[in-house]
Amino acid sequence: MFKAIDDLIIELSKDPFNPVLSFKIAVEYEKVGQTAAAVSFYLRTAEYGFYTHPEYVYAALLKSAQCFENQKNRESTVHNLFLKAIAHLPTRPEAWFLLARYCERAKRWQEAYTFSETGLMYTKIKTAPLPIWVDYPGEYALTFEKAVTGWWVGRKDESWEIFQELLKQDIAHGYRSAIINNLKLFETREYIDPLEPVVTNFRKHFDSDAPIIIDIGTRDGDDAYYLYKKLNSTKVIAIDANTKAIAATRTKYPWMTAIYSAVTHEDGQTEFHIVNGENKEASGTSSVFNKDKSISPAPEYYVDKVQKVTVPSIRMDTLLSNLGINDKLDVVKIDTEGYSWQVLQGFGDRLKDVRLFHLETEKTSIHDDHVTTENITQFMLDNGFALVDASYEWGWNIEDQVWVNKELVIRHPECFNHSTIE
Amino acid sequence: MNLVQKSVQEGGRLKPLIIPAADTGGTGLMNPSIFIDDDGDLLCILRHINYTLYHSENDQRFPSIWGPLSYLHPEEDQRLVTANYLCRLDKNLNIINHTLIDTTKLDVKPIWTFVGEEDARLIKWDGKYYGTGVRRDTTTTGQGRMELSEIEIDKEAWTAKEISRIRIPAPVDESSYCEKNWMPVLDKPFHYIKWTSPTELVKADPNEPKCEQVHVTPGKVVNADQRGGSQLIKWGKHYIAITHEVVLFKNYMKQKNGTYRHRLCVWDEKFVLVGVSPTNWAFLDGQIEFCAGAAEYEGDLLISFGFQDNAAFILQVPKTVVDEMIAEAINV
Repeated sequence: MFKAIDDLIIELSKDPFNPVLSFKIAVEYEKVGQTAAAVSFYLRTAEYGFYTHPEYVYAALLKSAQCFENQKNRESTVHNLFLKAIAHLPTRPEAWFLLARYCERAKRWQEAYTFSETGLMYTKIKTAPLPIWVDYPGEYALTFEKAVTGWWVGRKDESWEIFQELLKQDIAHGYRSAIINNLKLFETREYIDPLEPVVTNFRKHFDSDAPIIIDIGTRDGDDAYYLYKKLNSTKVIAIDANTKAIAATRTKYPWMTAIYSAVTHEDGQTEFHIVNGENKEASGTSSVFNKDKSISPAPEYYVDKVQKVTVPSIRMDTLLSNLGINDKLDVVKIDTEGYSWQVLQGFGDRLKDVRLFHLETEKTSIHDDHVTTENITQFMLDNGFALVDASYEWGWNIEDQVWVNKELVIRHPECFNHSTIE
Repeated sequence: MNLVQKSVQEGGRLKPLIIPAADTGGTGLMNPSIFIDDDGDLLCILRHINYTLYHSENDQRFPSIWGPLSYLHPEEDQRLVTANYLCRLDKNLNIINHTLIDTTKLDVKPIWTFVGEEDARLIKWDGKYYGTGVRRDTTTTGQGRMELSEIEIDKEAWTAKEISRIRIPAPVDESSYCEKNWMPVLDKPFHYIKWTSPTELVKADPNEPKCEQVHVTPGKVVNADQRGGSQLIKWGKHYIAITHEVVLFKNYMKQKNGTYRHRLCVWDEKFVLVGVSPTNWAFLDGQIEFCAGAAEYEGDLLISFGFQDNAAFILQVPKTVVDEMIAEAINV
């Protein structure tokens, strides 16, 4: 039942003070949520590895802190263990980051700012790898902490500039999302919604009003609501395979047609991977695809967060028929975490009825069945659509595309049809 | 060589005792007490605590803020709270059922920071199941007394409920501060070994708070105080139990630390101590280990023990090893 622990404990009985064995046992206990037992073995690693295994000791102290953090309400001990790790290997950045983040979450802004600034001194030093992932994604995370806490300690301009610089870097999904949200706090800078190109291009090529909006992978209905408001819509269909997402959408926007289903190229059922947790952006990465080859966040992020379920699946042409919608579809937004290709195939002949698509595409493969940006682009071109905008809200790898149907364009058709100019 | 290594080398086995963190929040599972029921069921009381023992061993390079040995309860809740789970194990010594023992019928508001029945040993006397351990939450000074809690077990629904509770007075000096770790004699209802050397046998009353000293016999002299311990179980013509001895010490900052070690004790049928392990030993060479259960199983000895107050294990010690330990204990 706990075979890894069984085997390791037997090994440990033969070599009871071996710090690496103790560490491995601690990891296995932590994996099953037994944080107290994990702490015992991490602390043994720290004590018995002190002279021989510095990286194990360092990681064990950080992991002990994280175990106590999980138990909650042991703040002094968590703080103290991070400090012990820093004292053990002061020129490594990981503990500085974790302590800065811990203080930031506790709203101890100046401490967090100081720790992140100090940690940034050590990010360029070459260090031996740690034996385990300790939730330190890299230098940008320390920079992020500096920016967040800088705002609170009176360095607003510095904070804004750091955030802008970070957005140019290849950083994890959650950090990018947090930065975008933080930037909304900067009242002097106008926030521009990432879906603004949809609004502009619909108005430019069609009309000021878009009666029917369809949001596939809606998460919480917010994006659909933005488009609804901006484009004076009359009907919104919001679809998601995550029950929590649909529940949230129905609660916030009871007037929307909220549909619980995955949208795919086949009617029936499909596996779906729900990302659990409090982070709204992370839960928005729930997908038909598993997270084994996820790029941002990395697969490690999803350990113990993903729940595989079976959900209904439906083709869009079937769904539209079921709903009795035979008209043109003004705006269709597809945000399905790598599954855009399959969703598009499910439109069948109804693809030609869509005026404007907003597609999230990925340049790098994230699953064996994933179709990348390049092939999706060719598919859209082959089906009579023109690419009118590409943006990178989530970094270089994820390309948000806005496509308009050349056959249905009302305004400025000359943009797509040179014969009209003649 | 620790006992786990020795036992496994000779064909024994060790298993961790774990119940899901979703039920416990991940804090300590400790000091289990194994018992084999008449129908062959392997039952076990597993103690769950709301704290985590922080123990820096060896050179104490990384002590907590409060010292090398600290009970880390929630910072906003000073109490050290115990709850007990009743578990059923399969033949591979894996937990297949667990249920929190429902004590609500008899609980009263605790008035000391140590809450709940601690290190309850599982026994069956006169056809009734009991957990018997120490409770310290009934006085404002933390006075500890052994309690005898009758547990009603529904093996079909897998529920366990405490239906009566007797607080056992100290038999001679009722003013004593803390009575704990009395070792129940499995085949002699309501009898405990209260002290090992000289051996003090006492008898409690299951119906009212009474306790009498049955006898005190000098027996074998032991240099280190032996404290309970597992249940006393019959092994051939002897009774045996696992006891512990504690070395408490302080570092240069006057902060407490301690080491627990164990011995096998052997009594004759009249409860005269006739053997004690010549040297103390550990289960896994942790500084803090504690045994609260022993049972004969398929000719071997099952021993359940806690490790650093945070983890629980069950060890199957082959008969050959047990017999060898008994011989060593008697022949010293």
